[in-house]
Amino acid sequence: MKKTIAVLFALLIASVFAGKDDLLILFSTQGPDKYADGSVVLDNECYALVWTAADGTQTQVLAVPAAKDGKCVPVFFEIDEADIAKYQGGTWGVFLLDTRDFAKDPAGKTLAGFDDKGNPKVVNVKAAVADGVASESGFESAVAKSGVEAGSYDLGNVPRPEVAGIQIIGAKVVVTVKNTVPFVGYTLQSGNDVKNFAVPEGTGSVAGKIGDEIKLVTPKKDGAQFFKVSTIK
Amino acid sequence: MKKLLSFAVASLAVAAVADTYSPTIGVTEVTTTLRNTIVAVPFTSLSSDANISANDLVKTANLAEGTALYIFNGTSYSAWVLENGAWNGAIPANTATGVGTPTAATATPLAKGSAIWLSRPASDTAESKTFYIYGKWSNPSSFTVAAGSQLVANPLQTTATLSVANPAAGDEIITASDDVPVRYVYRVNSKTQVGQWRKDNAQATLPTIPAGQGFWYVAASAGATISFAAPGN
Repeated sequence: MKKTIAVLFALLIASVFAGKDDLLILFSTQGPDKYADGSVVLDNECYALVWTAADGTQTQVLAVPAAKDGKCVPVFFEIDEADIAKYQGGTWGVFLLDTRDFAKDPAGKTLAGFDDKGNPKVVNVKAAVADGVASESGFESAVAKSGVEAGSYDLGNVPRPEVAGIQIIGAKVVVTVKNTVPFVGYTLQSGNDVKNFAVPEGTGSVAGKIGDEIKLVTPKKDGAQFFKVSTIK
Repeated sequence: MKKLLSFAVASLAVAAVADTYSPTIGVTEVTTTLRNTIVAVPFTSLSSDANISANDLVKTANLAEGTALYIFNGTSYSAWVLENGAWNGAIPANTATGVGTPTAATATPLAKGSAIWLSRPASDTAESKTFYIYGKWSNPSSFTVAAGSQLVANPLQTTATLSVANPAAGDEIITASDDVPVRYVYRVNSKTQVGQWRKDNAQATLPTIPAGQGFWYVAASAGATISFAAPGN
């Protein structure tokens, strides 16, 4: 019996044209993402990037094992300028695939992986998390919080992010970041000294915005802490 | 029914976004049992290497209404009181402490390496107080004193030990205390011309300064240079 996907929260998709006229795509989710049975998505589960043309035809452009800690880590793609004509007049969306191999593991703790062509060996069910899709195939999907943003940027000249402010709220440190651009993900790294920085466990990245600020949150530790904001590939 | 196609991913490549980083931001947790604490200014403005403002340096989280900041300008003090969560209440002139009417806290720059006073109100009966300072971090440097009285920061994010090069006879280091301030005086033997730091008329090791705090240096003449190191280094 096929299993499928239930709910995805806070999908972020950004799509822009780079300075070289390549198509740049960034997608991620803020999680927690869950299968239809309510369990949190397994690490290395696949998300599919799907192009929906004006006539409704859907093309799976990419499937990537991007699940980590219950959400889709930011995934960046660049489509060559020569192929951009294929992606006009439609919309981009993200699907969570359920590739659990129930033949091998009834509890669904085993993922089937990819075949030699790079496609998932097992896809029980996939459900769209595209704009405005409330449900599909009997499974509930979330509505994206952010739609596709577009702009013209030179990837070779991504501005340096800048910390505009810090708030201490209970056991959290909230860092406000400006100088962000919409097709780039930003993470907050922290350290107890200035030589060793790491992304704190349980925290994620946030996509930049045009002309706006983003906020990154991390646990507050005792004593001194150092922070820096980085873009991610 | 929508048709879902798959095709080769050959035309896709991970976008080549160069990593960029914000400047390093430091957040220091300051814990004190004193009613009046000398608070370090180890940072510059978040957005530049310009001096940080009093308003930006000291986070108001955990601080009681009525807490005051005093800034020594070499001859007198300016001050602000925490009211409604902001450093905006000037202490009037002609008080017993000789406080003058200051400019806005947001427009009062604090030189990196200096220090300010934080005074807890009588209504704040907590035995210990933890608060936060933050700003743009840069490598700490030694501090060259000017003649006269100055508030000096521990620029490290850890407890610091002090060493003073070329102190003048009569130079004093004074640390905060709710009782009689603790005073270290540099004395030079008139016969041997050998100098030493003394406390309570006995040779003494200079004090350690907690992270985020500072001390007075009263210089008989200019020229001494203070260096800071973490204990054991």
